[in-house]
Amino acid sequence: MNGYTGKLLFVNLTDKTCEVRELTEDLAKNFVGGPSLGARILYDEMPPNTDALAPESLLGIISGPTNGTGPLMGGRYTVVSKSPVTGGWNDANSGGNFGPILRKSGYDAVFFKGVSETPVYLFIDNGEVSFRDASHLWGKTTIETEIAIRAELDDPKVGIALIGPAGERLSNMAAIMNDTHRAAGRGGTGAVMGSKRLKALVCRGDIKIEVRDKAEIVALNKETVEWEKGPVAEVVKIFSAWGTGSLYEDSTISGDAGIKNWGGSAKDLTDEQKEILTSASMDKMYRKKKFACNACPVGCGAIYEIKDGPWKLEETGRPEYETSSNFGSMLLNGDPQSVNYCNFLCNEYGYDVISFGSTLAWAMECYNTGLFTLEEMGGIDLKWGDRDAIVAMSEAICRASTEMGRVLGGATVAAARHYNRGFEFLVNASGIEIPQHDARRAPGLARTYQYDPTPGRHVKGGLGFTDHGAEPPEQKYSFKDTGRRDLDAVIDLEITNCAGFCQLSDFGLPPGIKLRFLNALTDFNYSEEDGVNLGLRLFTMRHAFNLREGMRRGDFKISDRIVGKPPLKEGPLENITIDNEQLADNFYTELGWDLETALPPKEFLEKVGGLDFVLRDLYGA
Amino acid sequence: MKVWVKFVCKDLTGGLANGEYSVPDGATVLDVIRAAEKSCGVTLPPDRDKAFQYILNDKAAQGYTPVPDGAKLYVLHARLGG
Repeated sequence: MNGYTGKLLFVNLTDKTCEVRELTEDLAKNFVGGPSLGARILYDEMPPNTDALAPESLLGIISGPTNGTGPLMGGRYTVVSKSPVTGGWNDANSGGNFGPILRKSGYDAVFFKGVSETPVYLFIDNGEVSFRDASHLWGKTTIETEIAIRAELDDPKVGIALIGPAGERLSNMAAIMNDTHRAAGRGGTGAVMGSKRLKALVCRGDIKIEVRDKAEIVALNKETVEWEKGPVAEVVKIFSAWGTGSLYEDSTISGDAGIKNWGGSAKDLTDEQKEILTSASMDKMYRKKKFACNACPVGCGAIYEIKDGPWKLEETGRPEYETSSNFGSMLLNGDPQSVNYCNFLCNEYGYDVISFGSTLAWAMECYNTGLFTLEEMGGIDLKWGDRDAIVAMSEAICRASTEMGRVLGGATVAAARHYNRGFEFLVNASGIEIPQHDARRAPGLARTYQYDPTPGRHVKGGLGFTDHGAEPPEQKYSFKDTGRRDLDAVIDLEITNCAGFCQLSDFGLPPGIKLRFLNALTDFNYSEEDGVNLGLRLFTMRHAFNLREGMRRGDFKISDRIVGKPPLKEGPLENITIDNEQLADNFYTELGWDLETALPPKEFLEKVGGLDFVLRDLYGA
Repeated sequence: MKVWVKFVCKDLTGGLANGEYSVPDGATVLDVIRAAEKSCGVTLPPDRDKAFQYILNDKAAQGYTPVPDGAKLYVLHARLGG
């Protein structure tokens, strides 16, 4: 089958058996790859209401058809599972080089179930699968583990997706890491991997994936290059030079970035604090070299070297915007060395920087309002903006070296429950901490954060990232007639994520080209109408997993603070409250779904097609 | 009257300097940008304004928003993300 290896690997870690199954044409055509292909598989393979960390729980590591087949900006793979954080569907994706290497090793996806008696890693070498002992790697950091595995296999280029100590401890904010500083970070992916005592998936191979029309892919790539030199040249230039962190200063001034655990405003930071953590500023001090993911002409990454100060680092990934904001503005911290060191710690120990920084912010607010004593903090005087205290608490979490460090390692909700305090300072969507784009500035994000089947993500579709929040207030805070634009954005981003494109393709690829890439890769010949139904199906598939778990609209929650209840009293977001229920009503109305339950009606499922099993489960048809 | 401006999106503003600019009473945000262009001898490309967003005295503003004397204006990238 063009565009795919056509093989799915199912691994049982309990009895160390493997089964290779065909990726059928129907599966590939209807669900493409990435999150929705994963949801389709888990829907069948994982019993309803399985605990995310139980042996019966499945973990999928899944490519998209663009991985390793040539399309520019097509290098992202996806990790899927049930989330131990939200209790519902979870997917998280990552760039670097791992996705293409997974495919060249012979499989479009690998699914793990069961629990190994002792720590293992799985090695796929040109289709051949072997279980390797990882007892000696358990407890090691991600960097130590990568070095050890490459040495063991005598191959510096093997692809490795792995967990650090965070995943071994089943932390709710444990990530799966690859290429040293790339992360499929969100929703507790690393905890699911750790629960299976699986330290790493290691891949090597040179298996060629056939495509339908290689010349067409070359032509589409040329079109992309011309596009990037043309209408979007200046945006490409910004991201290419300075990456996502280029806009940190803008975000702290505009109200986009979270400030002081989402309770502060731009006035809480000085101009110098806002400017110094922008990557243009940090590049001048630390930049060592550029980093680009596979097949990416933008190349938004960089490697830093921190030569001076208390936390010297020979090599560390440049902080992404999310990192700078979570360890910067969220904590009222304007110190670049501590931000870089915390970023490094998270990568080493395998933590999601978004949930980690948010957890520090929650702990800070609790401490600074007197909810925790200094003794409970393990002697760490975690005052707002204190860089030494921020680093000390980060180390305590990563090394689980204090009681507070161990508890905070479970992220905000678990910590609030443990101490039975600080619930009023939790800011999350269905339990997962919010990324650094404020819904009070870009209201559409509130709908996405709360009601996307994978809650709390800025990389899921919706109005937020289409409108970017710069519209006049009378337009963006009207909450009327948003449904169509919201749904169009969802359809587009579903295809982006499932195909394996990067989200920066929202500007980096010419409009409408993604479906043309899929048609050049595969034999599916999607029409424009097919594309609409495809996007709807991909979205509905993730939603269907949650429905099967018994989740309905009322089960998806969002914290009051992030939607302006009560509103902020100063700054760019002063007096703003988001009518998120109206935004959701608009969205579900556009879909034709039931407003109370978010159930898709029979007619919708029939029209979209390819979801007979959902139809059967919901309506017995 | 005088308005203090910081051009945060330096890559889009081609050498417009941060600092204080004089504008007549009743001037708008866009008038301030034009004053900066004149003062710095820079002409921004047509429609460049569409790539900006503005924060005026800590509040979101539009190009047409009137500017009070002594105001603090930040000129930002319209596109955020990452």
